[in-house]
Parts: sequence; C-alpha cells; structure tokens
Amino acid sequence: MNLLDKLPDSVQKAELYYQKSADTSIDFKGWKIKSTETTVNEGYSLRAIEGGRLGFSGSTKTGGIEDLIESTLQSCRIGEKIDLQFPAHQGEQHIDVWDESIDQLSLEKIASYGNKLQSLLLELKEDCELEISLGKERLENTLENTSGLKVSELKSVFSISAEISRVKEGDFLFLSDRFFSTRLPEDMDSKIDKLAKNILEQYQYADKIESFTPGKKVPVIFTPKAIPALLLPLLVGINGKNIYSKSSPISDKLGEQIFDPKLSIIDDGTIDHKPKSSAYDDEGFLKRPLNIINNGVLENFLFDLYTAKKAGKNPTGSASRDIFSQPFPSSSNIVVNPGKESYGDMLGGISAGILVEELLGVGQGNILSGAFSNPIGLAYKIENGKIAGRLKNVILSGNIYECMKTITAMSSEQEWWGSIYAPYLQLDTLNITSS
Amino acid sequence: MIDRIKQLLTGVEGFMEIRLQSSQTTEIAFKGRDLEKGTNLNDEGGFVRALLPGKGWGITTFNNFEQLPQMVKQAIDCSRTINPEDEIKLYPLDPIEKKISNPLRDDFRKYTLNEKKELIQEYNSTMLNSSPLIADTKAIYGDSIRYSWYGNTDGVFIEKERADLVMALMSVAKDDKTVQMSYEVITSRDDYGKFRGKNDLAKEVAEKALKLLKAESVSGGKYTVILDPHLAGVFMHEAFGHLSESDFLFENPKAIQMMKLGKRFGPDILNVVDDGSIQGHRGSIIFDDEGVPCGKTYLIKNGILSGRLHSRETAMKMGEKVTGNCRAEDYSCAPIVRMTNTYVENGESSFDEMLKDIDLGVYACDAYGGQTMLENFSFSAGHAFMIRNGKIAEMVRDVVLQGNLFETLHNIEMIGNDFTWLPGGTCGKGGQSAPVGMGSPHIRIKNVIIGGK
Repeated sequence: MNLLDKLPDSVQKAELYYQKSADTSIDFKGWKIKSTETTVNEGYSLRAIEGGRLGFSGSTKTGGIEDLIESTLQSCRIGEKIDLQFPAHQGEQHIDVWDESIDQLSLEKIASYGNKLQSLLLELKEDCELEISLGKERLENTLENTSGLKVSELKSVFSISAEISRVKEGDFLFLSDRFFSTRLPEDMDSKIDKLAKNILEQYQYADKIESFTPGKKVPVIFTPKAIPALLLPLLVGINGKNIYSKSSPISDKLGEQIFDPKLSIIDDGTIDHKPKSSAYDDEGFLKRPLNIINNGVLENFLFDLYTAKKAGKNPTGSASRDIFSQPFPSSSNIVVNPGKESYGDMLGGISAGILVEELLGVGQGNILSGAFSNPIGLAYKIENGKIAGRLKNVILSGNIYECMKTITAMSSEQEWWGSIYAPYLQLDTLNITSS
Repeated sequence: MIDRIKQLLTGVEGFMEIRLQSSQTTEIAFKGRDLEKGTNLNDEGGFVRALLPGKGWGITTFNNFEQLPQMVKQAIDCSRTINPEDEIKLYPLDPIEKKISNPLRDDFRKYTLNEKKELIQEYNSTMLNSSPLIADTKAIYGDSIRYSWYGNTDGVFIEKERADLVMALMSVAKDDKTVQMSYEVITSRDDYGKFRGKNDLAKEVAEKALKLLKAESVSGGKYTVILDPHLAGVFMHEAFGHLSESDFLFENPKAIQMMKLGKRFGPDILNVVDDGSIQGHRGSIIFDDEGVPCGKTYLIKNGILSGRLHSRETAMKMGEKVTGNCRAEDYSCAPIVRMTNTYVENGESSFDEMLKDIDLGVYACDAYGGQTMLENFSFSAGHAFMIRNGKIAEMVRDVVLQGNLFETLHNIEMIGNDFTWLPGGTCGKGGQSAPVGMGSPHIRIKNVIIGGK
C-alpha cells in the first residue's frame, strides 16, 4: 500500500483504512432455492490533518488513489481545527473470529444446509411462506497511521436466517429465527434442528388469537429478542456523539443510580466467535469489556477518538467505520447480566400478563429522550402462569429512564439475539393501549 | 461502456444483464458547532446477473471493472448450481437503446466544497443561535451525480445520468424535563438554487423543537385524525404501498387472494398512483434497473384495488404487464420490486371542511418514521395539534398512530383538495435504500388509535 508515503509534506498526520469483503449467499423463497450471489467489495478511506484541520474521503474506484488523496486534502481545507492523536500500536490481544472452514464452504454445502432446514419445516408448507438466507462472509481490513500503527484483521461469518409468514384474511403472522457465528458449528445438524424446532414451537403458540382488555397495567415480560426495544434508547444515550454535544438526557449522570440496582449492562467486543467482536476497534484501540450500567449506576459512555477529544475523555475502543464514513462510536456485543429467578418461575408467577417476543417500530421516534411507543409484532397473553395465545393490536409505551427504575424480575437464563446477550426481563409499569 | 457491455453479452447462453455504475458524491454535515463531514466520495462498481435456461438466478457484484470477464463467468457458475422446480420466465421486452440525461438548472458542480459548506453553516448557526435551549443541531447537504450503463441479452441498452440534491435541517431542544427534535428536508433533482435563502426555514425548525418542549404528551385513545400531506404521503407509501409490491405476492397464493384486484380497499374518493415516468421527483427513474420503461399505475382507483407493481419475473408469473418497478440501490444489489413516486390524488374537501365538525381530534403532522408489519402499522408524527370544537388547538407530542391498515383505509372520511408533492425520502426494503417520491393532500380518518399516556 504505502499510500501514506504518497501524501504531501504539508500533511501532519494521517490514517488509512482498507476494507475488503467477499460474501457468498444463497436465498430460498417460495419453498425452493431462488438465487446465489457472490460479492467482492473493496475500498479505501483516508483521514488526514493538514494545517491543523481534519479531512476525510473514501473511494471504491480501482486505481483512484491520487483522487482519494486530492479529495482528502480538499476536505482538510474546509475541515474543523482539531488535533487528533492517532494511536501507536496498543499491544496484542487475540480474539477468535476467524474460521478457515467457513471460508472453504462450497456453494453446494451451504445449499445442503438450506435444504435440510427447509425439509424440517415442510409441515408448514400448506399454510405458510418460507424465506431462508444462508451465507458466508470473509472480512478483511487493514489500518495504518502516521504514528506507526499497522494492524490487520480477518474475520469469517456464517449465518442462517429463516422467516415464516402466514396470511389469513385479516391476519398476518410472521415468525423468524436466525443464527450467526464466526465459527462453523461442529454440530451443524443440531443447530439447524434447533432453529426449526424453535419456529415450529412458536407457530403452535401463535395459532390461537387472544384479545386483551385495555386500560389495565399488567406485568410484561420481554424475551431476549424483545430487549433491544429497551436497550436502543440507552445505546443512543451513551453514544459519545450525544455526550459531548450534551444532547443525551444522561450526559451529566455518570456515577448516578439511573436504573434498578438489579440491572448491569456490559459492552464487550472481546467475546470469541461473535461477529461484533475484534481485537482492535476501527481506529486501532484495543477492545475491552466496559461496564455501562453497574447495579443500576451509569459508569461509562462510548467514545471514539473524535468524540473523546470533544468530551475531554479517553477513547473506549468503540470506533466503527466503513469506507464512506469517518469513524463513529458504536456498541459491540451488549451483555445484560442475569437475575436470580428462573424464567419458568417468572412466567408461573403471573396470573394475567403479556410476553413480548417482538415489537414494531423499534428505534423510531424520539428515542434519545428514552421514550418508546411500539405496537407488538409478536406477543402472547399470559394467563395463570401459562401462555394462553397470541395477542394482537396492543401498543406498549413508556420511557426507559422511568420504567426501568423498578425492574420486577430478571431471569437467570440468558440468550443471544443478534449481538445482545440478555435474560428475560419483567416490567410492571408500562402503559398498555389496545384497540 | 455500453459497447463493452455489448461485447461481454455476445454469445452468452440464456439471459444475462450487466449494470455498471460510477458516482461522485459530496457530503457535508454539521452537528452542533462541529463540521462532522465535508468531503467528496467516489464510488464505482458493477453487477452481473445470469439466468441459464431452466436454472436459477446467479449474481455477482464487484468494484473492480477489470474483473468483469471473470464476474460474467462466475455469475453463470452461480446460476448453474440451482435447479428450480418451475422454470423462471421473464416478461418479454422489445430491444431499445436509450440515453437518459439529467439537465441541471443551477449546476452544483460549479460550486466549491467551501461554498457549499458556508451555505449550510449559515442555516446551522441560525438554528444554534435561536435559543440557549437548542442543545444540538444537524445541518446536512448532499449532492451526487451517478452515471450508469445497463445492458441485457434482450437487446435493451440504457445509459443514464442521475443527479440528486438534498438538504436536511434538524434541531434538538432540551430542558430539565425532556428532549425534543424537529426537522425539515429539501430535495431537488436539478437545482442548487433551491437551497439558497433558507434562513427562515432554519428558524422555523428551531422554533418547532422549542414549542415541542412545552407541548404535553397526547392522551392515548381513539380519535378522528387529520393527517397533513407529509404524514399522509408517508403513510400511504409505508402502510399500503408496500403491499402492492408483487415480490411479496407472486409466490404466495393466500396473499394474492387478500390483494385481489377489484376488491374494495377504501371509499370512492380514494385514488393511489405510482408513477416513475413523471420528471423531476426522487422516484423519477424513467427506466427501472431491468431496463423496463416506467408508467402510471393506479394502485387504488375509486376505492377499488386496481393495480400492483412488478418486476419482469413477477409480471410473467402473475400474467400481468410490467410496470417498471424493479429497482436496485446501486451496483452492489440485485433489483427488487419497489415504488417510485407514489401519491394520493386530490379529493374535493377543503381543510376547513375537514376540521369543522370534529369536536375532539388530532391534527398529525410530519413523519418521524413508520414501520409496518403488513396489516399492522405504527407511525410517529413529528408534531401534532389537538382539534377542539372544529378548531386547531394546543400542540401535542409523542403522537404514535397505530392500527390495522385495511380498517384504517375504510375509515378514510375525507380527502383534501390541496395536493402537495413532498420532498420525498429514502425508502428501505430488503436492506436496500432507494430514493422515492411521495405526495398527498390532507386526509381525514376516523377511529384512529393513538398510543400514549
């Protein structure tokens, strides 16, 4: 590469990021294999400081290096005066996110996993549509800067997702499940079995439709799949961008008890085999487990180099970027610590309540304020400690900074959903509106 | 480039299409006092899709044009791995060779990065200086010019130039109790001049956020609601429009039954159209990404479901005509069925007529976003007002409209005579985003559920 050497002497500091991804994916639709796709994308992004001003540009144009430098210098000339200290090498750490056997998977092999999953769900063919996506991905990136840092990383990701939809007059039902990992499971068959079983089980629960009497506050259990609706406002609230600008409602609340003491949340990009994990963040800082909420107390925000500088703090290894964007703070894997009760006991103790699997419109509206108001996508009515049937046309609303001050219970079991590892969580004070 | 595509397509077995693209983009963004982004970006890449006789779709995407011959071969290899039960057939197209240009009224390329920066910096400062309670702002400017070259083995060759300009202003107001925000967007396909002299607009954005601080949360319940053209346009696109996209229907007999043409979907006054052939809007694509010319499609005519949107594959499968609605975000994506410019035609009611007999209702304005799970939708209004005794009353916030689409369409009572094109937006589907146009007059709907306290 040696692109940094091509920069004019007027450039005081610079940082070059190169990214290449190669994906292979197979899609099933309408109970048959539909398409296969291979993708190779690559590009460079360059950040530099010239005359004390910060500039940036990105390009996917092959052989467009001179243009990239020129665009970056133009960007510097209108750029903000700021002194960023690009890090020197921060030390070694190994996070296991590469598996040769994913890279070597053939199209035929991937297709066979899809066929197997489809055959396990075949009993739904009469009534439902099925979409399956399977894929492998090879991600490669290299970061170098004028402080002498040069780090490269290679990551492999294997993923399966399945979605069942059923259309009846006046009723749509969607059920989905997915699996992804940076390591190919040795027991792939049992993973696929589990995925299919989970969907079939949900389908049975969902078949009976229950109504809900409005105007009552009842206990609501969020499954790990539904937890993002509660976490997303917090993740926006701790993002360095909203901290240095003081637009976050918790920007001045470090060290304060903002949630129930039962709640502890950790941002952890060092967990092996997780697609959001890596040894270094996208600016070369080591990823570290970071306590966000410790027994209800707000302990940390997420900063990249820029937002840390603006806020007068240190970067937290939270920088993320792509070819066409400057780095920005972003969460890694989010771990919500477990509680003491079993999920079965939580469920069993509720005479009338709601179990939420999925909410609609998560992330929409004014979430920075902590407020949320989401119709249920998939939820069940709990009656006498058991799931009685599927609920429709119910909206849950509240503000996380109020409703999570008291958490009734959290389960001792945790489950992964995407990059979130969380227990079942029960709240008793949500506003519930129904049609 | 077209010649190069022709050469690669010569002698290919079965169907193949190649799409190459090169774009230059300027992006400038202020957040608070800081310039978050100010740069020019270059993006270039290609897409090849093959369909061998009796096989499935094989796709490759890439950045490096030098790899084109290998990518053609690889797409064919991908296609060969699939043995579908039913053969995929495409709606036939007549050969055509066409060049679509995008003439500019005030060419944004004449202006330096610094001039563009100073333009939005001024609006940003206006917002920031309007009150100490304005805690944060965003002022974003973007322009892009994209050249694309398309060809397929049916003899369709389209060379396209497309320009897009967009400016967004956003203010966040914060007091000791809450944080509220408001925004405005301006878009254009040809005129940099449209972005000048917008200081008053910047002032309005900040003032709206400040007013929201003082507004009470709406009380949840069932109301007669008037949607402003903005929210009405977004609602029709999100909640209804997506159901007209045939890729969701064509392999799903039960969904086809539900979306059966000829079925009543709303009152006689309701007419909904999709049209990518009109000039100058965000969804004006003229030809889609399969080389199919766009046309005017009535999705709902006089309250009756009367049309839907197609790709070549879905049209063939459903025995209907192509509509020119198969679009790809860029070279890295396969085209999917989606809307272009979708709008509600004018009705006959004046805004005053809509208001006058509402004792207690909500006037919901601007869309913060919306999500649908087919029949169920949820939309956040940017701001709203209570309607009391036939008059617009106090501002309220946290207005989230929720309901069942089919019931809601039937509950439309009045359609305004004040049609407006909206700035349009960017629609997300299947992980791809695409610029779309939207338009609507005011719409009055009874029995709408609003979530809240």
